[in-house]
Amino acid sequence: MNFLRGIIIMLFAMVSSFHSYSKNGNSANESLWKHYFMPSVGIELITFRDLATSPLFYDGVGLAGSIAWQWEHPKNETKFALYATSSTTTSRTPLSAFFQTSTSSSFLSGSVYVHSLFTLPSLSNDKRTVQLGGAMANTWNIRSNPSLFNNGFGMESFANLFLSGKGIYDISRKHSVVQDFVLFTRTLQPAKRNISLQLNIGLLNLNYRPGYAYNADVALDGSNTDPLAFLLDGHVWKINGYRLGTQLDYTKYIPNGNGHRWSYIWDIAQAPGRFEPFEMVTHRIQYTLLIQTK
Amino acid sequence: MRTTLLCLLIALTLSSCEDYFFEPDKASSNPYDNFEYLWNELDKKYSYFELKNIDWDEMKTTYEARLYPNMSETELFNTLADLMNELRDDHSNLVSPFNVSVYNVPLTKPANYHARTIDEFYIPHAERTGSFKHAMLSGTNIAYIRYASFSDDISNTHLDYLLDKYRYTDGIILDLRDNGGGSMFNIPMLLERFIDSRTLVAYTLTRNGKGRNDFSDRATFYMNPYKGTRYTKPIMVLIDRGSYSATTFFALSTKAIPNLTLVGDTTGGGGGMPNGGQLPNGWTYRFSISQLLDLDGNNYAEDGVPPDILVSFDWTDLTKDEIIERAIQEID
Repeated sequence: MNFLRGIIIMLFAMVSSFHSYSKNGNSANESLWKHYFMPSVGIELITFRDLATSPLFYDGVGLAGSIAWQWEHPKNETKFALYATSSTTTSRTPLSAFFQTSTSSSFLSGSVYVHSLFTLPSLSNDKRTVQLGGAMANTWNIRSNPSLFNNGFGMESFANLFLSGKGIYDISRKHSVVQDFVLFTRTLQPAKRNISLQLNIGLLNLNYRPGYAYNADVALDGSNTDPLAFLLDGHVWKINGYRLGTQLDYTKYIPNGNGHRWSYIWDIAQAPGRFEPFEMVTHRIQYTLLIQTK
Repeated sequence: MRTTLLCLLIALTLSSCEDYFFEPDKASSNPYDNFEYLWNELDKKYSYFELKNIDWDEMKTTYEARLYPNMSETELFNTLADLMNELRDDHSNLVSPFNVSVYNVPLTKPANYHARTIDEFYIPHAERTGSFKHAMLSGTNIAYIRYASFSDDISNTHLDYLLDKYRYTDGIILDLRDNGGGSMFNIPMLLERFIDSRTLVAYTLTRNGKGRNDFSDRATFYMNPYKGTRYTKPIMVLIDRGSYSATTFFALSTKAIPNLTLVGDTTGGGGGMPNGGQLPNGWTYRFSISQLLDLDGNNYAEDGVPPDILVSFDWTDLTKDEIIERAIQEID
């Protein structure tokens, strides 16, 4: 628990320091700062496997939502985001000619994410911006699969420190373009647009997984009815596994400074834990509204 | 456009390689894979091999010999179910879409509960409050309360009603015969009504390693007195071989509470907490992963908690319940 508190405090400290940095920047550069509030919705495909309870993969689809705050400057970019996903999954069971088995698991996930990226001037120009920096994510999954009896409740967490790189390519339309379709013509107005690809590679990967018996001791004890204790007791932190992620964004700005963003986000994690591994991968198509607040 | 395509290509290439990041898919309908998986899971986590003197390696040899390629799913189910039934444990079950394996502990000993006798001759006008059926026993100042399953929810409102209603009685008969268990959380819900101070009632040990005798340190099972309505006069708890799992846990806990007395036959057992899991073919299973000990460290709960007063039901006279009669006599 103390370790968990430490991670949460570190996350908030990191976000707070980034925010202060943005405020204390050189006043000459003050006008170069852009602040965005970014609500998102998306659809997510998920695959996971908890080898402590089943050798089978579970696949499903879910709804995802997030809110994020982003502070952009030509020299750096900071983002803080909260993600939530709710999915329904079914087991990838071998086909039976007799009686087909099918089990399902509901899957709730929440994440806190923060990154700070710094522009590399030597690799950047008017059309291209290359950024390098770090990111942190803490993800909590809660799963329910009644067919697994007393192991039907599953919970795990990942806390990851990433090396993060991002390439932003300006694909703005500088001049009006007239498209001639024979029967009609269409004029495309100048538009500020970019496409970006971010890669996060987990450097320090922690996971919080159930103990050997999976059932928490507190469930066996029965006298402790504190829900938080029920969730957390019996679980152990371990440093192992990996986590990788990519995010491909297409962003189109409108003249008032706001914008729309369509994203494809891929996230893969493996957590061997102390005893048996947990694996998961998600593919998310996401739409984000960029609301410029400064 | 070239840049856009390049970015898309990089993102999709990484995501399409995800199979290389995971261990291979272990889904299989092969009988040997499923047998091996189940035997290994039990070997790693089952909690009563030593106590029940089960030679698990010999079981592997015996039942593996029954496997053959392309055996039917029913044949595989029967083989795996027979393997699990060697554990003599109703917490060990295999679940397929067409059958569920059960060892049937209560059938190994005589029954001591006949619902019709109680309903017709003892509580013909019983009230039903939540999960409880209850009434005053005629000609006595004793209340009878039937709780049929620990899977049935208990609410404090219902318990307040019951214990208020019977607060001036000389005693209560709490009938847990044929109660096959259920939620562990209902045990403290009931017991905390019958104590005046925080009471240690049992210990549990949980498998924590691959060695068949690898267990955690003792975890304590404490009861805290309920802050509202309680009842601390004599309570006769009726048990029999059909009292299993959470009921066995409850029965063992009564040994630490002076005003509770067990009457009837030894419980069916099931002191171990079952887990849950899934085979490579999708069937599911569960088995015990812990042990339950009394306050002296004795480990008998898996085979049943003996009553303080042993009484048997006389099946030649269905107008009388000898176990209830003995409980009344004890309170009087």
